[in-house]
Amino acid sequence: MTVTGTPALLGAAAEAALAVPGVAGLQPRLGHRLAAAAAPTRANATPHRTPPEAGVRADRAPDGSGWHIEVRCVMTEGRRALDIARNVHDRVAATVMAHLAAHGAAEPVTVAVTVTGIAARRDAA
Amino acid sequence: MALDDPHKRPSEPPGADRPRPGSAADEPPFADDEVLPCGRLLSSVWEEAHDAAPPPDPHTVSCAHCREAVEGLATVNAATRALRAEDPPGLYALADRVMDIVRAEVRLGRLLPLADPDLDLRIAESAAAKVLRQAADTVPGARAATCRLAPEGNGTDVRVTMTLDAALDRPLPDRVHQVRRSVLHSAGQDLGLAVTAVDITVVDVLEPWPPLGHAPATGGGT
Repeated sequence: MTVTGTPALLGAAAEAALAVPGVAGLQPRLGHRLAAAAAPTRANATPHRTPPEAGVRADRAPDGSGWHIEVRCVMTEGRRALDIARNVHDRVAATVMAHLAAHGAAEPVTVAVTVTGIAARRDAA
Repeated sequence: MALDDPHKRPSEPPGADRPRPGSAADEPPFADDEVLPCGRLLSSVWEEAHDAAPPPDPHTVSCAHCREAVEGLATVNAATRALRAEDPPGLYALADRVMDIVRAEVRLGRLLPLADPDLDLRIAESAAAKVLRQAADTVPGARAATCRLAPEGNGTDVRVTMTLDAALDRPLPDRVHQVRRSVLHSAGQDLGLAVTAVDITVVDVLEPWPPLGHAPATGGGT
């Protein structure tokens, strides 16, 4: 897997996470939000428009043996956060592994899921 | 003041260097430059006044037109500097945006493990505390004031520390027990947190509303 492939990997992971019932959205990481704030035109026009993959981070595992994916998501009220997080974990892991395999770079994948907020249903709608 | 009418031209310009439209050689260095009534270009007078190094031209020292033009520009210059000092192009707005984002990140609080020891699943303290406070508030006569969560041990255990406002119409231990049960239930049911303990401190009295034993005021002459 090359660096140029990473955006596609992040996009696939974000799409998989967003498809999980009970996921209201992905929470952009601090770096993305600061970068958006520092870009005056983007910050003025669309302060909160960051792409969904900004809520996903992909790093090489410390020992170089595969990928470590982190997903930060906001969930909707009414479902157990643990169940949604498990679901996000499983779907993102499966999607990323399939993505890597499809690009001829099958490698181990670990996924961490962080619930950063639970939105009231009216907020998430 | 000279700046009020930037296109004014001297009616009787001394010297032969009056700018003529179409004559490139005589064009002032700036498109909107102004020739003062004394024949000097505003830009050169301003540069001379602004630049302390060269010896002052005797003309600009004594000429009322030049002095007036320089004074006018100096006022504008001072105002510009003051405005620039007040908000260096968008820097304060940028700093505000950055600080808002950093504060939002800090407000997330610590990350707590969800109750699955095999997977790396976590929840932000602020998100969990919001749900647990709501659970406490469902108990009549109780209102959560603060709620903190902390991991306990190396597994997925979490300890909750809550402060509570409680009404005194019932014994406090009963009410605190109800709140603890509600919080434990919500932690398991809504979040999936392995809460091992809920420490509750009643910090204030929740006044019943409407206040009991207070009839509406009847006096007052109405």
